[in-house]
Amino acid sequence: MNSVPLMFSAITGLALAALGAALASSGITGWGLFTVALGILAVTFVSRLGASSRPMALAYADSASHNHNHNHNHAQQR
Amino acid sequence: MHFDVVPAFFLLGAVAALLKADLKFPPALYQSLTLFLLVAIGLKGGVALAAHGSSEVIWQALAVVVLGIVLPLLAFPLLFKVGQLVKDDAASIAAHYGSVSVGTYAVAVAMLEAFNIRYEAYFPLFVVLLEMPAIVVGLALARGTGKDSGYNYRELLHEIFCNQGIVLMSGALLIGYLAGPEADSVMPLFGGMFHGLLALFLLQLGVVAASRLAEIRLNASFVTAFAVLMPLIGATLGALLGDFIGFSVGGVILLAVLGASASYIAVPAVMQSALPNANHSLSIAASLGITFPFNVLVGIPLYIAVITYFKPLT
Repeated sequence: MNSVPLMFSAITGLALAALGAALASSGITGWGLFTVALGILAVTFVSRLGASSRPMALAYADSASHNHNHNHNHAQQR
Repeated sequence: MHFDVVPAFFLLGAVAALLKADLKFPPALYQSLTLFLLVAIGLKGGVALAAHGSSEVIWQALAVVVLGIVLPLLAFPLLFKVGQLVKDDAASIAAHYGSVSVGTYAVAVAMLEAFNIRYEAYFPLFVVLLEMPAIVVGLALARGTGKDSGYNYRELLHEIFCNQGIVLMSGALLIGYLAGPEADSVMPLFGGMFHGLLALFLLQLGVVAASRLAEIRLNASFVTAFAVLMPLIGATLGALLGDFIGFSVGGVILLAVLGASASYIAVPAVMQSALPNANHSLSIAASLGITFPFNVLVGIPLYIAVITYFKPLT
């Protein structure tokens, strides 16, 4: 997965969290924006985990498939 | 403590949908509520325009149209270059975010009335005007405007100017303007019942919004961030423009809300016929599944708080 959209959401989440915290701690607004920003960061984190585990899962699936074929060929040779 | 009754119904609908509760709205009722809101907003705006309208409104309207052109131009590079979406998808979503949501506007009006904040009551005129420019800009961004764009312009113009939102709101606006105080005879329905029927409308939208969320799974992180950031950019530009034009505090808040809102009724209809290959679920999921709830639950109170902090009520 391309990292530019993920970087964008991480930076947006961090910037909005900072803005939300600044507005809320100065008493201008509630903590709504800060909470939403944490939500964005959580979704980004989950997407990042999904992106990094996917190639591993695919590699595992490939190697499992390779081993299966390998064993199958051995069985046929025997 | 202030409790916002109207947005609370939106939350109820969303929670009911997430709990898979047996909450079924007859489609005809949802359609009727949409028609009611469009007519009520247009009519009230028309009556106000008759009472308070001046030549100044024309310049204000022109400035508001410029906002409708600028917003999709800002959204498109974010979606296309940063989000790396397909060009048609990026243009379609940009058009959604340049246009406006009547539902969000209605909630903002309800909140301003709850806080006793006065606003330019002819604002529905700007709601009607803001529906259109973003659609044209979005279509131009997708394929240009030349002969090789492949658009059926006759069909497109019909969709843009004759969709339900434009026809009902501008028609009701005109009727209200011509009738002036004589429109009082229908106001018990369109004025008195406005908040109650808006609450029912939001209950249904809560159900729809929660069910749309699953559709952004593929681009979840980018779309979520965009659908929150873009309203904040739109609100900032709207507020700055409103202040520059010389609107009252309520007017500045309403223009911020219009800048922040994203269409989910008029624009999808046009985009589906003009850009059939675009991912329409993605645009609706972003505008209705994220931006609408964000604006209703967090955005509008935030815009009110920040704007009244910098521009105190007199």
